[in-house]
Amino acid sequence: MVGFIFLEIKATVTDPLFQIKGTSLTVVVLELYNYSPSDFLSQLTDKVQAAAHFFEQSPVLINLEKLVSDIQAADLLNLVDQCRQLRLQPVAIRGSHDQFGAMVEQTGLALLPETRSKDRPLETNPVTDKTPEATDGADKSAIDTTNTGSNGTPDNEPAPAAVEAGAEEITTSQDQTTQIISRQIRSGQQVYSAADLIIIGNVNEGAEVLAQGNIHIYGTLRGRALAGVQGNTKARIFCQQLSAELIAIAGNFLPSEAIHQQNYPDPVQVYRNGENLEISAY
Amino acid sequence: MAKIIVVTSGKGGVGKTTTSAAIGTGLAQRGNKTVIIDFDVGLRNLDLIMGCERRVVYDFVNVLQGEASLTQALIKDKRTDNLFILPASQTRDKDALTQEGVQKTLDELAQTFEYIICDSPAGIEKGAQMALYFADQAIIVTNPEVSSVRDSDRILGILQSKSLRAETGGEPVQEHLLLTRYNPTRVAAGEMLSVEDVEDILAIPLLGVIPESESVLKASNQGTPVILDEDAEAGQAYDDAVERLLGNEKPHRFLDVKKTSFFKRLLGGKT
Repeated sequence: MVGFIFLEIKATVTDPLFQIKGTSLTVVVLELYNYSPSDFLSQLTDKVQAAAHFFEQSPVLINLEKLVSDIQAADLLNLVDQCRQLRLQPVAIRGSHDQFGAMVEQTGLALLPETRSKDRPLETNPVTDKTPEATDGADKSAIDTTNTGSNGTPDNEPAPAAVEAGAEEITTSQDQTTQIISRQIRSGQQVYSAADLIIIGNVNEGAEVLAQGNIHIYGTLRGRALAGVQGNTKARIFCQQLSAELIAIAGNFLPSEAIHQQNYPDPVQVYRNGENLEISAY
Repeated sequence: MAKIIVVTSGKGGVGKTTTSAAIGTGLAQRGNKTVIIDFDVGLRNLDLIMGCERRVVYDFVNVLQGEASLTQALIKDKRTDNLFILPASQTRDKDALTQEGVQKTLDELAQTFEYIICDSPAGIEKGAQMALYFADQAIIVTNPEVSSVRDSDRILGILQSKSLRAETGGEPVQEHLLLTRYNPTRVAAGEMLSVEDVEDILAIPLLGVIPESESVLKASNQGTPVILDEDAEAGQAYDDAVERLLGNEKPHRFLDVKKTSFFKRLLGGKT
């Protein structure tokens, strides 16, 4: 999913004619590996026909980051045209400005900067940014869609992969968007988010919530919460009431005993201060 | 349309079978054709609690394996009309339970019965999962102590992910909390979790609170469902729970410490 976030600017003049607001929308991402006009059209037609209603007039982002061969301006124009023939709406192209800037200008579409997920610090990794995942390479172009829009709650999705053998019920999201779960996490359940994680409900004893980013719990944390599991030391844990079995940020943890020795007013946040975990009001 | 109700808890010894017997009897007393199935294959208990252990000829596993028909295996209760028991096998283990077999049996029972009560074994393994898989409703039996609450929480998670309704994305299984062995005096002394504590952690609707009572043990040993003991508080509390299960409002009773009169205390009267 790719979203567009704009700053909200309130006009100060009297009788404003407009207001600029932020929004985020779900788009289809077409990740291009190679381009040949006839093959592309036939493969895309197959994809679109598989779910005609889904693709009908849906906005499409063409991602050139995974391109393995060169592409000419004429090809790009042709590609955009073919998308339109199939009733898709290309809205933007993602790729390096130096490489594709001039070409994209000819198409009249917006050019979005590359996702430099590797050299970007994790805490600024926006909630709307999707890092392309490796595909099996069977298709020359893969259409990657997710349905986690601003109101998306992928809470009941079947787990695509187990994080830990033995844990029975796992909700795992490799999606680089904030995962919102509006139910209580029960003993024995595990939730993993590749970005931020928001739980609306309690995290009960024996439950485990993990996120590469921050964890927000609108309820009581009685189980385990591990934020910044891929090493983001700036990640934080927020909860309305803390009586956790364990809290951890980027590998440094406090067990229940140590948590209860500290005095803190609820609600609390937990963050890294050097090598220590600090618990404080927010 | 038959309603399948699983009585489950995760933890053992909290009162699942006592509850299955009481609720099943209560439903039958009100004119609903009810069957109670013992899913605890290998550790048969329901027949004892129901006092029909001498009449067991064929069991649930015989039916599953086609060795007996349902009519041969079902035991008609002698005290309560409309009530039948399908006992478990004492000689087999839980592997005898297959999903197809259980489904076939439940489908067949659903043609004649209004309520099918599945008395789950303890644990979260195959037996417990089979008992809850086809459930429309679940009664979570919990004692007011931390380990029982944690195990109930676990079984609720399994209900929400491994039941047929969860797997097919249907209406979620309707959950009811039944707190058993509740002792208000010990709650007041801080030795037991309160109703509020348990509700806070499990966050499911409260079906009833059954007070800790000697009459439960007595009824079990006599093979009489405690709900038939109208003088016992536990029996009355189960009766209320059945009413609530049928959708009728009933105030919760027996939650507070009873005030014993001065004379009663002086004479050493039992509470």
